[in-house]
Amino acid sequence: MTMDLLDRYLHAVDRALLPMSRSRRSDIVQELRENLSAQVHDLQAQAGRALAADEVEAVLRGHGHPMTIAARYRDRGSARRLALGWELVGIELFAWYEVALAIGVGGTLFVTLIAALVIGAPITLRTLLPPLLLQLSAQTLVFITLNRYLRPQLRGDWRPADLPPISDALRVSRGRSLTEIALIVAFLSWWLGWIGPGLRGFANSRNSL
Amino acid sequence: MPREAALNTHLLDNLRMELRRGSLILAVLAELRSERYGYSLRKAMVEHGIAIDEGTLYPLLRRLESQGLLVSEWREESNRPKRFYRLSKHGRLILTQLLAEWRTITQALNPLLSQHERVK
Repeated sequence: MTMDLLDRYLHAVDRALLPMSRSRRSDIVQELRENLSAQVHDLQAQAGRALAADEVEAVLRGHGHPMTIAARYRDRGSARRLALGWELVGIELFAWYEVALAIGVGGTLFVTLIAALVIGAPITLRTLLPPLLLQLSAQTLVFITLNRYLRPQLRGDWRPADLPPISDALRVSRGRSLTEIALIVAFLSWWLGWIGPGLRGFANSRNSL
Repeated sequence: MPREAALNTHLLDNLRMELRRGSLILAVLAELRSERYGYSLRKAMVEHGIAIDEGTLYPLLRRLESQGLLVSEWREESNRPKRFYRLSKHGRLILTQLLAEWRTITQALNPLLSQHERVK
């Protein structure tokens, strides 16, 4: 029971570390496992008995929420924190915010450029800036809201027993990946006019109204 | 006023954290003149009266290692693999310089603080 709780806790830390490489994550989790096990064994030796589940929970709560711990392993210095509004989004979500920004900015630029090429609009700063600003603001707002919602849980109002069981939920099934790829290809084909009127046809039909 | 009290507590917490941050690094570097793994280091620090929570200490060790101040290796102890840290050559040099800085600060601060205590 107690080791199950420790395993679930470490699994949650591993998942929270996710933007990191698998080898680095596994090294950190292995070290945490040894340190936490040593602490549990120490407490057992002092008590002269095996620890109850709630005592192991107290050790894990004292160690910190998995997301907070993972964020501390990612901490890359105060200058970066100040520059990118670390406080606004929260240290726990900051790495995900960065990943989402990179994907969001890349995606918005890609779609805007393709749309401009298809419609034949000139590619200028005026074309690119509005969708980028909109996307940045919307993404930041979502993360600020998430941070406000998660804060009480991360700052102590959480129970290790509520952590989800160990699962390989991050592995997306092959069927699901293929379906997603097929949908993206279908959308791009429509967008580029290979299927149906496409975006150019859509733009022309609007102009003729 | 509860809001004012909460703000004061928040301010005090922040200032305390800032004050502790530098001294904790100094303590960790000084403790790691002899080799230790994470949990044994924390126990040694607590025995010296320096409280530090594990969730802060273990990531700090990684950061100090990435800065070249510590070196580490996985080794077995009591049939369990553990990651042992010790001060690197560069870390030893930095620690000497930091200790000199620390002594200068405390020497300058002590008379000032005891003067404040007397006035109070």
